[in-house]
Formats: sequence, C-alpha cells, structure tokens
Amino acid sequence: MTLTQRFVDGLWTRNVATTQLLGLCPLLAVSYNVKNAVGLAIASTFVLVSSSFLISLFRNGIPENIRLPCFVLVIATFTTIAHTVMQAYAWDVYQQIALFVQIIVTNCMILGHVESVASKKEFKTSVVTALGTALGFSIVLVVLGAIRQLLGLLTPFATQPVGSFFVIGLALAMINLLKGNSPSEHSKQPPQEQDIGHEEHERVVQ
Amino acid sequence: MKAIAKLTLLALISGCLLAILHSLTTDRINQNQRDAEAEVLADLVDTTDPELLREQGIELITLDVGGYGGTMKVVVAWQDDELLGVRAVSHGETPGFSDTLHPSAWIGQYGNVPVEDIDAVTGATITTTAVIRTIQDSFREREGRQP
Repeated sequence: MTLTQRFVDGLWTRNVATTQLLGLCPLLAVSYNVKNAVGLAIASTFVLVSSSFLISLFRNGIPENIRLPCFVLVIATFTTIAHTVMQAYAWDVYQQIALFVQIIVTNCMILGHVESVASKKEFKTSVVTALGTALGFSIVLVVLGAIRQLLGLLTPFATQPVGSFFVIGLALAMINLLKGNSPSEHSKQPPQEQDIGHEEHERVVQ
Repeated sequence: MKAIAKLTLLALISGCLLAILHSLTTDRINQNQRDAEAEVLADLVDTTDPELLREQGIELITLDVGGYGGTMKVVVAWQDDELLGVRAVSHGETPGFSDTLHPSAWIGQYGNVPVEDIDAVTGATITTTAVIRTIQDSFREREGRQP
C-alpha cells in the first residue's frame, strides 16, 4: 500500500468511528458541541500520532513479550501530557471533557493502531497512517458535534445533550449507503481482508 | 531480565518527562483552579479575602469530602451563626448528576430555603449526602472552636 492509500484508508475506507466503530464512548459523550469536540479531537490526534511515531521509531528495541505494557506506558505518558497541557492552557474545555481526555489511554483506536501498524512498519508509514486515522476520527467528532449543537438549539426544553445515538446511527446508515455495502450483500460474500494489519487489529480489540 | 530493564528504563524516562511538565505547568494550573473557585463563590460573597469577610461577619470553611467521583472541595459560608450558602468549588462527579451542585440547582437552596424543606435527590445520593455531611462537619468545627 502506498502512503496516500494508507492515509485515505484511515480517513474514509476504514475510518475508526464509522467503519470500525472504535472509540465510540468518548465520541458520543463529548460531541454535544463543537468546542468540546475540537478539544477531544486535538488531544486524541496528539496522543495517536506521537505514540505511533515513538513506538515505530523504537519498535526493534521493544521485546515482543512485554510490548503491550510498553505501548500502554507510552500512550499513558502522552495522554497525561495532553491532560496536563489542557489543564494549564484550556481550562474551560478541560472542565467539560477532563474525564474523556483521561480515558484516551484505553481508546481501542490508539492501541489497535500501535499494535497493528506502528510496531511493524517504519515510522513514516506509521505516522502517515496515524494522521489519516486521527483526522478521520476528528472529522467525525467535529461534524457530529456541529449537528448535535444545532439539534440542541432546536430543542430548547432538553436539559441534557440530545441525539447522540440517533445522529450516529443515521450517519452510519448514510455512509454505508454511500459506500454501497448493504447488510444483505455482506451476508452473501464475506468481506475481504485488506491486509494482515486488519486481522492483527481485531485480535487486539477482542 | 533484559525486558525488565527496558520497561524500567521506559517508565523512568516517562516519569521524568511528566515531572518536568508538571513543574512547568503547576503554577498556571493552580491559578486556573483559584480563578475557577473564586468564580463559583462570586454570587455568594464579594471577596475571598478572610480579613474583609470577617468584617462582614462571614466565615468560609473549605473542606475536602469524598464524593462519588473522588474528592470534592466544598465551601460552606457562615454569617453570624447562620448558614449563608454552600458551593462545590471542584468535584469529579458524574456529568448530569453533578447538576445538583450547580448554584441554581439543589445546592443553591442552602441559605435560601429552611433546611428541613430541602429534598434529597434521587440518583445523586452519594453526592448530596457528601454535601450534607460537609455542612454538618463545618458546623461542628465552628462549635468546637467556641469556648
């Protein structure tokens, strides 16, 4: 796969939020307005890109049997950095989404990417893939935030953020329609694995 | 053995990195924290300076109390032996249930409504019990100081 292909893959074809359905908890919890969505998008992008850069750079030095503790340690360090910087320079947003910045550590999107790409490929490939993946996640987050903020304005009697499940559900249905894969087609022919990375990925997620 | 050494080294590096970051940002974070606390108390008292408050007969008692999502910092304001108001200046309670801690909601009733008329809140039992306990504790603290 070329670098462009990998980038587009993360952005659209195998978008974490709309195709792999990973990291939905912070996605749905935070995306009730654009400001919070942007905050989480920046934090997730930072953690994903920097940890995948660092891990792919030192991938030959990480012993196979303790790779998961190493990955988690690196991801946790970057998450704490994002958390601390946000606390110091973006207090308003921090107040709103503190909890969801902290749980970036356990985001399947990041560990999955690190395990399937960063620990196997050279750092250029790894960073480009991470950028595509992160951008894909960020776009979904911000678009969902914009839609739900509008919905919130249209429903003045709602006391809680509205529409998370409906909006994401409809969005997923629309994206599947655009991609032209309906459930009935899926059952006829099993989806083809695009590369071994995907299998690895599923193993991590499970 | 080698694996242990590598993991230890990695943990050491990340620990040092975070310690440096912490020392660089701690002042700013504390300042943010203080500003936020002053803002929460703004509708209750004009100033947070203890000397100026004493002239008005107001005493602020700040207590840490265990809530549902970790420690909450609760300020109880007393004016001439009467409860002026209660505010939670920082907390980690679950969003939604923490609405009870908003000055215009449940917690804002203290000082405005007779205590026996304040209802408990379903679903936020731990949060509200913690606030009530803080008020009792602050009362006892004042009692204990009197000769």
